[in-house]
Amino acid sequence: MSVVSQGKSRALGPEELTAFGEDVDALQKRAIADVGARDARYIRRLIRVQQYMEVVGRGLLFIGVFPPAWVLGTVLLGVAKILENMEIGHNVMHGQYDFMNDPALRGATYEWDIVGTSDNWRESHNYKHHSYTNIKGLDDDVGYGLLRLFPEQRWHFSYLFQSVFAVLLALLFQWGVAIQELQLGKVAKGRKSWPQLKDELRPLWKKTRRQLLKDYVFFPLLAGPFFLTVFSGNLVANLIRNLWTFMIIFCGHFTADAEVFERSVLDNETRGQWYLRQLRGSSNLGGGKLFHILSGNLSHQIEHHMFPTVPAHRYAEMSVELRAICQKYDQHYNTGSLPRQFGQVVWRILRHSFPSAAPMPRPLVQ
Amino acid sequence: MASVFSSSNGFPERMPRVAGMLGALISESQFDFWAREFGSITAWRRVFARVQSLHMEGAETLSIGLRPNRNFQSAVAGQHVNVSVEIGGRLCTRSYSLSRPAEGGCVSISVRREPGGLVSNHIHDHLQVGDVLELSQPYGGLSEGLAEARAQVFLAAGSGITAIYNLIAEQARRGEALRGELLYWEKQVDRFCFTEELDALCQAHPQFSVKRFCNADASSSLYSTGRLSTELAAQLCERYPNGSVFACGGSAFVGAARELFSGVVGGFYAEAFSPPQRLGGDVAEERFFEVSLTRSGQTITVSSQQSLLDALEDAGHRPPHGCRMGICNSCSCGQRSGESQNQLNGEQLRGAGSVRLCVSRANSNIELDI
Repeated sequence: MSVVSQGKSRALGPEELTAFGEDVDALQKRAIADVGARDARYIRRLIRVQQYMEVVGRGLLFIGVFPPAWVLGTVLLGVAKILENMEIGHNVMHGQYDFMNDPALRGATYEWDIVGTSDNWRESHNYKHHSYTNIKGLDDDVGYGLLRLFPEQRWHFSYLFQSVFAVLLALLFQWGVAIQELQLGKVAKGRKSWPQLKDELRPLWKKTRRQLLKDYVFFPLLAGPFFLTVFSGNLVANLIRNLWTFMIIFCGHFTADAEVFERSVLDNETRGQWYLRQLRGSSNLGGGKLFHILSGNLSHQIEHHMFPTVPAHRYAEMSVELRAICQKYDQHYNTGSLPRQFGQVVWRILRHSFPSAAPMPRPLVQ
Repeated sequence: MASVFSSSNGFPERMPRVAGMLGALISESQFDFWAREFGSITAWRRVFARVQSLHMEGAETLSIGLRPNRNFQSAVAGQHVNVSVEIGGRLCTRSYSLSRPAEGGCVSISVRREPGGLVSNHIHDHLQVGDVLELSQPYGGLSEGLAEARAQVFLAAGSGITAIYNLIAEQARRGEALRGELLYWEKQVDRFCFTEELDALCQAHPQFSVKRFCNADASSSLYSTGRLSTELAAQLCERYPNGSVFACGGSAFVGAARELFSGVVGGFYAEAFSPPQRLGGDVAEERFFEVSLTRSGQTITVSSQQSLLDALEDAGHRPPHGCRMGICNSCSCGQRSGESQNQLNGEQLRGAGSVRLCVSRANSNIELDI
C-alpha cells in the first residue's frame, strides 16, 4: 500500500476502514440534507459585506492623498479581494451554492476577481488537486512544480534556491495560480507543443488584461489627479491578498504532519481510503469565526477536502463530529495555530532545499 | 433557439458604450447586486420582474401582473415564460403561459394551485405586490397560426386556457373580428377562468362562441359534458372546413387533439405543458451506459429509461435546467461523443452537438460538457 511520513495515526484494518468511511459519509449526508435557506442567507450576507467593503475601499483610495484614507482603503480593498477569492469564489466554484440555482453563483460559470481564469482553476484545483490530493506526480499542488516540500520528492541542486522562489511565489501568488495549468515545465521539456500553449494562453491573456486594466489603468484614471494613490493602493491590496492566500493555502497540505502519497494508493481505492487520504494529507488552522471566514474556511482544510461540495461555513460545526470520529479510529487530526502551522511550512521549505531522506514507509492501511 | 436566459436585448446591447466602460470596472453580478441595493430591478442581462398586481381568476388560479425590466424582449400572445421564485434558499423554476395581452410593458401570468406543487403553492400563499421574480425570455410559437384569416377552433383543458385566452384576447385587442369557437374543459365548475372576459368577447363578436365542458356537473345548463371525441372533432371540421385548430393543455389532451386534427386544412398548433408520462420509444429493455463528464472529470452510470437530467441529479449533479419538458433549452449542454436520443421528437444525436438533458436519454456511452 502507500507510505506515510509520520506515524501519528494507526493503520486501519479493512473492516475498520469501511466503518470509518461510513461514519464520515453519514456526517456528510446529514449536512447535505440540511443545506438550504440558512446557507443561501449566509452567502448573500457575505457577498453584501464584501461588495460594501470593496466600494468603500475603492472610494477611500480616491481621497488617498490623505494617508489614513489610503491605508484604510487599501486594507478594505485587500480584505474584499480576499473574501471574494476565498470564501466566495473558491467555494462557489466547488458548487457549494449550486443548490440555489442562482446563475450568479453557479460553480461551472463563476468568474473570480483574480488574474487566473476560473476554467483553469476548475481543472487544476477542483479536478486534479481534489481528486488526487497530495499524490506525487498527479497533484500539481505538491510544490507547484517549483518547490521540494517532501523528502519523497527527488532532490535537484536547483532546490537549493527554493527559499527565494517561495518568497517570489508568495508575492506573486495570483500569477502562480494563473499559470499553473499551463504546465510550462512540460513545454520546456518538449512534452507540450508551442501551438497548444498559444491556444491556452489566449483566454488567460484576455482575463489577465481585463484585471490589469481594471486595477492599474481604469480605476486610477477615474481618480484623475490622484492616479498614483489609487494605483499604489490597488497594487498593495493585491499584494496583501497574494501573501494571505499563499500563507493559508500552504498551511493546508505542507505542515510537518501532512503526508504525501505514491500513485499506488489509487489502486482499488475505496471510499474509506479516499477519506483517509484526504485526512492525512490535509491540515487545519485554529482560530475564531472571523479568521475562518477570512481564510475562506480553508482553516478547515480537512473538512474541505472530505466535503468539498458542502457549504464551507458548515465546516466548523462538522469538525466537532469529525474529530470524534478521528479519535474513535485513532487517526491524527492535524490542527494548530497559524504561526505554528506556517512555521512548519517554512521549515519544510528550508529543510528540503537540501537533500533529505524519506522516512521508512509505513502502511496507510493494514 | 438560443438559451432563453441570455438576452440579445440586454443592457450591453442597448447601451454599448456605457456598458463597455462599466464592464471594464465591474462584473455583471456586481452590476445586478448594486442595482438591487438601490431598489431597482435593472440587470445586466437577466430578466427580473416586479409583481404589480394579484387577483384570483376562478377558484384555484391566481393572475399576476408583472413589470419586467428592459432586458425582457417583447412577448407575443400564446407564448410562455419560465418563472423563478426563491423557496428555502433555492431558485425554483416553472413554465407558465402569458395569460393577458401585454400592455404598457407589463405581462400577466396565471398560476393554478397544484396539489402538492412546490412553486404554485408558494406563489399562492406568499407572493405579494412589490416582490421580485426572475423571468426567462418568452418562448413558444402558438401564435404562428394566427396570421391566416381563417376560422379558429380553440381547445383548452385546465390551465391550458391561459395561453389560449391570451391568443383570443390579443386578436380582439388588435380590433380583429373573432370567428370560430372555444371549447374549454375544466374538472370542477369553480375553476373556470376568464369567464366575464370571454362572455364579453362573445357579445362583441357574434361569430365567436364559447362552450364550457365540465363532466363533474351534468345538472347545470351552463356546462356541457363529454370528452374530446371523434364525433366532436368531425362536427368541428364540418363546421369550419378551412379552420385552424389551436390546442393547449396536458400532454394527454394535446396528444388526443393532435391525432384528431393533425390533417386539418388550416393547420394544427399546440402546446402541451405536462411532461410525457414516460420517455417513449422502445425502452422496454433497460440498459445502462457510462456518461463521462468532461468538466468535472467524473463518470456516472445512467439507465436507458431515465432522462439524462434525472440521472445527473440522482448522481448529485445540478445542471442548469428550466422547464423539464424539452422546450426552454435551459438544460442544453454540449455532447462530445456518443449517441443520445431526444424522446420528444425521436431525433438521434451522434457525435458532437447540443443535447437537451431533460428529454434525452443515452443510446450509448456518451461524453458531456459538464
